[in-house]
Amino acid sequence: MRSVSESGDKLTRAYRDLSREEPTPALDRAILAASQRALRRPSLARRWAAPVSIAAMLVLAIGVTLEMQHEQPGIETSAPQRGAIPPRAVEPQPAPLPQAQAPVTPEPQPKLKREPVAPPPATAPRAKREAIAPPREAIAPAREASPRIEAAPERIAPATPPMQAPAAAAGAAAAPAPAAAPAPAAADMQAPAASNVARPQALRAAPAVAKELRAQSEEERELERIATLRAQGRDTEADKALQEFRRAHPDYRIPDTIWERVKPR
Amino acid sequence: MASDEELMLAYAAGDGRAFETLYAKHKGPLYRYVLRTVKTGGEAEELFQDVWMRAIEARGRYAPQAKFTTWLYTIAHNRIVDHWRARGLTVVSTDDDEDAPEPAAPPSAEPHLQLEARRTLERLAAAIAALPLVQREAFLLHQEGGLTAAEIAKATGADEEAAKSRLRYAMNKLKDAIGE
Repeated sequence: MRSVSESGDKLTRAYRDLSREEPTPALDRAILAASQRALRRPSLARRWAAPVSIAAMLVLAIGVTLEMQHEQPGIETSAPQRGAIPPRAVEPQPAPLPQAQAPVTPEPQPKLKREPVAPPPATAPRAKREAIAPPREAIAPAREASPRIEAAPERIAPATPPMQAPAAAAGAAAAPAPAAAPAPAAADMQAPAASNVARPQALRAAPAVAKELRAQSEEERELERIATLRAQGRDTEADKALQEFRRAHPDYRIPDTIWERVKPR
Repeated sequence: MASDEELMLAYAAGDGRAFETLYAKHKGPLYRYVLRTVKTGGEAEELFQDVWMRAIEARGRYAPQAKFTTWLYTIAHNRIVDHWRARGLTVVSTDDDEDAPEPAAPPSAEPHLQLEARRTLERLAAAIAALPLVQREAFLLHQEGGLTAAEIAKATGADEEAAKSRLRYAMNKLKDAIGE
């Protein structure tokens, strides 16, 4: 443990002879017991992890639901413009097989369209429409459910070839049109990955630096908050906050200038 | 054998035995560092316990970017600085500590050599106590913590040249005191 590189031999020997004090056994027991207790007690972050996760899920679910409700009128008004199909016509589950075949065999569809006898629901034109239009609508909520960060790069790289998109889009659009996953959806799903690949090396290294800077400023912000409490005469709160700060950041050195403003009175 | 850093990470992951090993290894040097810095047994015990409690509580944030000893002694230094600050930086005493155990004499069969050795130790203890605070701390971090000048600088927030200089001054004074 002791380095003798810069020490004189005699000095080092003498100091070793001098320095034999040890903490008392009672102190040892107290510290070791505390170390074991700390392991049994979940940390603050772990204790709050589950409730915070549940709350976040609820907020997200409510947010998405409200967003969908807001968008619903838009869908209703735009649907007739595209093909004069009542909005309810989208709701019935179409058979997946005809949809899959619709783009491959386009010729019979005009015939069906022209037949005046047949009622509009459950026909090939509708199937074709659902193969094109509904997936966009079906994907829209799924896209909104994903973080907004992912939405931005989608617009940056739309030309990326859709390599993984069909499967993903089919998964997202599930029942309405599994086979005819549209190109926009493909671009949507592919774009974030493409933008990640294109990200410069410097940007990938940036989060570590940013995290460090953020941590530093968090500590400074916390000290500023304590200084404000002190200035307001709320010494009890400031004392408690300072204790908490020291527990959270035991190896952070509080500069003298800041210490003057946060120190216990 | 696992390094200190690995032991601390193991403790953070829930291995209580790892902490026992770490504690057994560092308790003596850390205790003496605190004891000789604050110079009273009661304060030393309180601060020593507090340093370990802080290390325990900070286990989840421990990242082995530096040596474990540097991290531990940084915590100790900060705790002692807080202690001084809370007392207006005037708490440090250069008097001999009556509560501290008597220094053990080196093994020697000759009574006159025992006496001489004892006097040497007394002179050394007095010289350590008489050192300026920053020099004493540099010396103790070097002797007890095994820290290099660069690590002393890191632990105390000082410039590396300043840390070297403090250590050198301290060593010279102590050598003079014991007649080396």
